Amino acid sequence: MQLQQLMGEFSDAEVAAVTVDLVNRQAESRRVLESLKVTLPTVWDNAQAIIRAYSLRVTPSTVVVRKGGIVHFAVPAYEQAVIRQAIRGALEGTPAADTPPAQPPSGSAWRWLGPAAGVALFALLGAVLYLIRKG
Amino acid sequence: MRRVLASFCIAIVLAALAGPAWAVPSAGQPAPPLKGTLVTGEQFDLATVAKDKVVVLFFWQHT
Repeated sequence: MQLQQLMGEFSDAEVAAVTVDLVNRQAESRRVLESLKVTLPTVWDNAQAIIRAYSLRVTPSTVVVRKGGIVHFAVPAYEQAVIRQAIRGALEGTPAADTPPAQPPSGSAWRWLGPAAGVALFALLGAVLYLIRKG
Repeated sequence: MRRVLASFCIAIVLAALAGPAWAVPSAGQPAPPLKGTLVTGEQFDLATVAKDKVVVLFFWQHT
């Protein structure tokens, strides 16, 4: 498992990692994690509160938190090289701006759209249709 | 025509307010609270762990 391998590069005394299962069912979490050979600690409850607090709309997502509780870096993916660099930056105290930029999530273009942007697009489409009908 | 223009303006404002769909906390901001029970039954509190360690949070959901 890539995450496991990645975290193995850092000392447990300096870096802690936790996976957060947003589906909220312990038995299933355990089964999926075992099948993926993930042994990182996993939070399986409180998912709705976490989704709201972190405004999460896309998974997987990764957030690197500096010592002291300040967000150092957040990316909507599990990109090993990017996360490795972000963890190093957090350990060395490198400004977050020096860490790599967030990469777009893979998959459907709709995943890029927040609900309000979706509504905006439909409003735009409606305006175009209205213009066409009006001739 | 006014209605069309109004719709267009509303669309632009909404799009500007929406932000990226994958919005997560911004760098430099305090991490939102994250507490929960681990699969092992232990309690996890980000505030406690992040006192003296860098913490990496991997969010996922299986389907």
